[in-house]
Amino acid sequence: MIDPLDAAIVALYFIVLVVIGIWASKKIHSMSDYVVAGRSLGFWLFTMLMVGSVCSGMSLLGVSGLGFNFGWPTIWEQIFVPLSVAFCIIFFGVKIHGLARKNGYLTVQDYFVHRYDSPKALRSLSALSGIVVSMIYLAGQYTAVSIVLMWIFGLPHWIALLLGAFIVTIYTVIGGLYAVTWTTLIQGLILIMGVVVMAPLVIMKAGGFTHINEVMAATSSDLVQPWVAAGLFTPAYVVSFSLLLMIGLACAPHVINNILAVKDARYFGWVPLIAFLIYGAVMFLLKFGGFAGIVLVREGTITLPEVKNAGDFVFIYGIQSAIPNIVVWGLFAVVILAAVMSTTDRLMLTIGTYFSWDIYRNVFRPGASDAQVLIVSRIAVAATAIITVILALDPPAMLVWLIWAGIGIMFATFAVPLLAGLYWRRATREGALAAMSLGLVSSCVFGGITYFKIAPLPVHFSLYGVVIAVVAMIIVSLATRPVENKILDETHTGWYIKVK
Amino acid sequence: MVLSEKHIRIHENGAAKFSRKNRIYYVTHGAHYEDLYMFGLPILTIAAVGGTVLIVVLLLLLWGLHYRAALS
Repeated sequence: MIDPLDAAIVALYFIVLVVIGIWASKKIHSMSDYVVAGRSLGFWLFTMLMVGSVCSGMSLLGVSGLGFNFGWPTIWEQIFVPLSVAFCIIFFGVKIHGLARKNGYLTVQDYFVHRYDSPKALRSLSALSGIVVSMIYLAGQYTAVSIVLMWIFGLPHWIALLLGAFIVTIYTVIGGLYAVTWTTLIQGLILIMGVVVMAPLVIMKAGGFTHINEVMAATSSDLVQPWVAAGLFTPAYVVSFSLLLMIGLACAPHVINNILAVKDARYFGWVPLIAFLIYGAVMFLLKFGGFAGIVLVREGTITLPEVKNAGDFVFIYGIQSAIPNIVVWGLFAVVILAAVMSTTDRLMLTIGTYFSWDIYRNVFRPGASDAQVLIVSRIAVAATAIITVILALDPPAMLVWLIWAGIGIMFATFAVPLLAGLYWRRATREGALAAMSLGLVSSCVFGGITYFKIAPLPVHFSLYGVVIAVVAMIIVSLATRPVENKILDETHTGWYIKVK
Repeated sequence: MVLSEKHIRIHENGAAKFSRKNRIYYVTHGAHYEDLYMFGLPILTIAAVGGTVLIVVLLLLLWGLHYRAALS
């Protein structure tokens, strides 16, 4: 697919992003402006930032691919991924947002330091874990950018990768969270409009919703069941997978840090519902597009490429089949790029911030000025792009698996210290350190057991890490000295959600 | 049960689908099962997925109302 008009559409999209970055750079006067957009995000900017942060490019292609491969048992992904926004806001955001405004938190590590009274150890462990896991996730995003650009321009993988990375890096480095947020708003609108218009066309091309389900049922009864009795997506696996998506994404560094940038806590009332409806609608349509692909392939309307992840191409090929207009293909390419880039830029900014603020400013150079930290942050964002592009140049076969593993490791590492810190007054610094480190290590071990097929696990591997983290938190906390009541009161710790 | 041809659609993989009185039957490679259906889906799927979405939306609506009341 090489067409000047398509190339022009994508080029125009890139230019708009860079212009937004240049405009946003004029608003950056301090580290707070760069990292949390001066805590100025309004209702819709915040809503779209949350939606854009959890909607990645690999998931956009993968949603229809998973539906194509496994059918209705995968539909739970479309309920619990959007629900992660609500979980993040309700269980983490309401409390942390108030504390952040009062105490000037720039990252979630600032909360850990305050609540657990651990200025170095917990901050370092949490920041480093966040950086490593986010980089794994980011490498996958760059691979998705590259896939789309290769498809549009017929470019070699490395040129496509460099082009995509260059554009994202430019506007993220110069514009910080202001640029990330405004570009995400535009990207989110493109994504929503694109999917809402294009997915129904693919579904109609396949004969409509009912016909698709009938063909799926005739292919295999498992494809139309809500879960299966054996194999992947058994009820136990669905429950663990749903928890992973809902809580794991909610405590992912690039998602939870958005909370700190909100202008007004009143938004937390309706953003969960609005985000769920918007993102849920888009993802359901994409999933149905994957189901439609089953019919289109069976009836010989489309033929997928002979690659291992052929399912990931089903929606792209479905669009090409349903809308034989080359201009629309260019627009669709922009839709995919929008979904990928809305996560990519947020991840890069998160990694840069964790390094510059948590590692450089608070561990190595406590006396560093705001201007110095800002420079380090921009350098760190650029360095992150370079490292992850190198990783993505030769993506390992296990890359897609690693992306899901990344969310699983986030779940096992951060969920317990966050939830216990906010809701259990007996949780201590030592307990948090034990929970975080054991959650991280054990989830990697169980992930390895799954990946290398050493032993079959009935539930997602991350759940074992979470259980171990919970046990470690309880035992170690009860065995160590409690945190002072003064700190617990300051950090609103207890079995309640403090609304105001 | 006697089936006329108009009630039967033979799929290309050899699976036969036929329907009668709001029920759908499939015969796929010798395996036979039956389900109540709607939109070509078993009722269990409709109920499980639709019910979960409904419950989630209601809970989020209640959260929004509760949060607004708590702020005022």
